[in-house]
Amino acid sequence: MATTSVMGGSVRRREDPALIQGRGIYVDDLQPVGLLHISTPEPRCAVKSRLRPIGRR
Amino acid sequence: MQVNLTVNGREVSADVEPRTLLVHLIRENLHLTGTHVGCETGYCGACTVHLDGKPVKSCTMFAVQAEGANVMTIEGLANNGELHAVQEGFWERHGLQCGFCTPGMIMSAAALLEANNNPTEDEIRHGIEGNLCRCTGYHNIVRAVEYAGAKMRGEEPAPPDWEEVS
Repeated sequence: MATTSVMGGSVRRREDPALIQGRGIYVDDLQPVGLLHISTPEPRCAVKSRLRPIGRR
Repeated sequence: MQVNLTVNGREVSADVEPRTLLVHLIRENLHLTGTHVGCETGYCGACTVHLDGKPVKSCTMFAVQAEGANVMTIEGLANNGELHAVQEGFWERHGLQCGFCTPGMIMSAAALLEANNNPTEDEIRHGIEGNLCRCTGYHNIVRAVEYAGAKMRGEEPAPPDWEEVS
């Protein structure tokens, strides 16, 4: 088997260029179709009518 | 409410609620999702941006308070694709793992080095004490900031504190 230059060496992380420039994707960055963030007047509410997203891209 | 400000050199205006936090304007109106919301209480520093050159936690102020301000986020730090010394340092010295705290950590470190490009280790640790990292234990973050400081002084950074084994 060919010798690899990886073993024992310092390997640059391929994911870092995105992460250090703010281009990583985390769960909070996802915008699934139909996702709603709802502000409610009470801490515990039931959603009784269907809501339509407004102002979505 | 209408708010007008400059973000990463671009003049922007947005219609926001009075209660909208600066970080939400940045993430949701401007779609600059590199600035993270970690704790929303001011502890973690993941939302750190520069406001008129000073590091601020963008979850601790309202968007309308940034009226007329010059904001820089992690997306604006590199210069035409050339990494800022701090970004380079984090990559070269393994200053990140999951990367969630990294944008805020880098913005704090960049502001620290802007004020003093030759900080002691204590000064570096003090400078980033408002930023929490749950992966690295901070050791390599400090080395990354030292690397960046050397670069900004035009000096050769100290070699990494690990050894290549051939």
